[in-house]
Amino acid sequence: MTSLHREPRAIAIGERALAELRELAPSLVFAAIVSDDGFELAHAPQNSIDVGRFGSMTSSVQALSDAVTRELSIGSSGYVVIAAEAGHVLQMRVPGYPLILAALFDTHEMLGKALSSSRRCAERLVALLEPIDFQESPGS
Amino acid sequence: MVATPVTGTRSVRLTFGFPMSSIDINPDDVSTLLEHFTVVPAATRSGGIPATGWARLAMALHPLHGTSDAIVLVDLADGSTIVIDWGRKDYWWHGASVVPIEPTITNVRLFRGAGARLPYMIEQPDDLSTMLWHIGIHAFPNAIAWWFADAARYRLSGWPDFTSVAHTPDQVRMTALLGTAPFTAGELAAAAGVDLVDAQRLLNALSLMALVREIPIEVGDEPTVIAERPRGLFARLRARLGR
Amino acid sequence: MSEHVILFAGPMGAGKTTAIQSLSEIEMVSTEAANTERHVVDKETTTVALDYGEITIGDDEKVRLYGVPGQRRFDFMWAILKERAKGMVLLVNNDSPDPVARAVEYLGSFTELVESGCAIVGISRRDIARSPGPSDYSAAISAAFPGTLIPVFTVDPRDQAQMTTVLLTLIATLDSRQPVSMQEVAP
Repeated sequence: MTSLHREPRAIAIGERALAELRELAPSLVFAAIVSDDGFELAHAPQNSIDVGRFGSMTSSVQALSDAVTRELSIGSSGYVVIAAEAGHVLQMRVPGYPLILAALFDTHEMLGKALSSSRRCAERLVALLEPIDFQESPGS
Repeated sequence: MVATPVTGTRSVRLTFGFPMSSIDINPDDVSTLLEHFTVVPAATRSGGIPATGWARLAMALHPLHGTSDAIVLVDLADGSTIVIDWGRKDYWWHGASVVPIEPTITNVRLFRGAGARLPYMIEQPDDLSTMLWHIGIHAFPNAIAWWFADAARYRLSGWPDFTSVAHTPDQVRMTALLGTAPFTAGELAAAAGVDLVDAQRLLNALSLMALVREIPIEVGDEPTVIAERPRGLFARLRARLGR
Repeated sequence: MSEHVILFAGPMGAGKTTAIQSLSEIEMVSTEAANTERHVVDKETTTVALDYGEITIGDDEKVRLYGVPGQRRFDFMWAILKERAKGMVLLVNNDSPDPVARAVEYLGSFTELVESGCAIVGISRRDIARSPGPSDYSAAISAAFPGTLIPVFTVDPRDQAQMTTVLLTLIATLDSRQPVSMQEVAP
């Protein structure tokens, strides 16, 4: 469970969920699913940005936001928004898995719509990952 | 020609009681090695007063700076022994659990020779630098060590491993100062706000550890004067941390 | 508020988080995530943003202790925090492969601090791997950064007394970085 990003079945699911997110949100510039410690499970589209660096930064931002919510005792971190002039980065945990979904939307997208698309993607990931017992090797 | 294989490990108990492995040499070679040790008599100062205690050992070790290979065996009156592998900068202490501050040294034997190394010792050694610190701090308690030049300042060339030796925050502070400028013992004491003997003891230790370099005082040199900073950050943090 | 920022850096598993815990007066703020690289370093968690601890010296003076992640993929955190740091502690695990080279490599990411003499090196786990020793590190560091005198100590990051010695030594070197005032000898 802790090294999902190296699991071929999980990777395939990740790629599928991101493909669906791209169809759902035309304003999506880039999206990635990373492990809690910043390693990439999947990203889309290919060759768009330095996914290694982006994954590490996503992990840092997530951990810092968790530290803030812990410090303020306001429950667990829901999502993080980095709003900039030319785009919004949205990130959230995939519930029940040590994974983070992070996506860059251009500013043509309303933040609310970006958020709901991302949430749908996270839920989709959970639905696709749940039936698989990752302790068993594939094809057994 | 018949080769003489060395099979397995044989322990050789030598006269000074350290268990050693003779995996590379046979016992005859070890005793032959001992025959080549020379006794180092106690150094004397003007008036013929011989060095005693750690001063005797300090005076025997200081000339070894610049030598890469030597083995030193030290016997104390209470039966303790020290073995020093100068080449590897290791030592073994075999004696009381606390190394004394005022030992009675009965014998110092030295073996110098290219490639002089101890055969493999079973017991783990300690860093020689920590023993040199202890010797240097205690050898000349109220004076500068005998080997110091009259007209010289000293500048740091490396730090002691302070977490591995008993030390005071003043010694850390003085060492930091020595890293910024050359000092005589008197100038260092003034800059750090300590007694002259404290500065001398530190210089004795650092010099025995080859961690200071000597800078001769030239005619016309100005003294090194650094205002003591009793309220600097170091002093404040030290007070806060209870040191 | 007067603050003195000290950075703790070094490879993963060297003991940076532990060292800050030993020194910090407050409960350390940490950003640990599950470590998916157990084959590289066998630890359950790893720091992915920073560790934060502090020591309060006076009413408006603090020493802030920041630990950065060890892995190079988080070097953007190194860049952020070294801007704010007055000095650094580099911790290296002596039973890792070629630890002296790693120490020199890591110091190379903080050259401004190293070359201005605002750094100290702590060798951890020397009880498990005795060699190389402090003098091996000193020789390599002096060769890589000529003109510097970086202290190298043997440390157990869990030991508060030892970590205090490390911190005080670093502060002593920072404190002594002042121009030497020369006075004429009175006639």
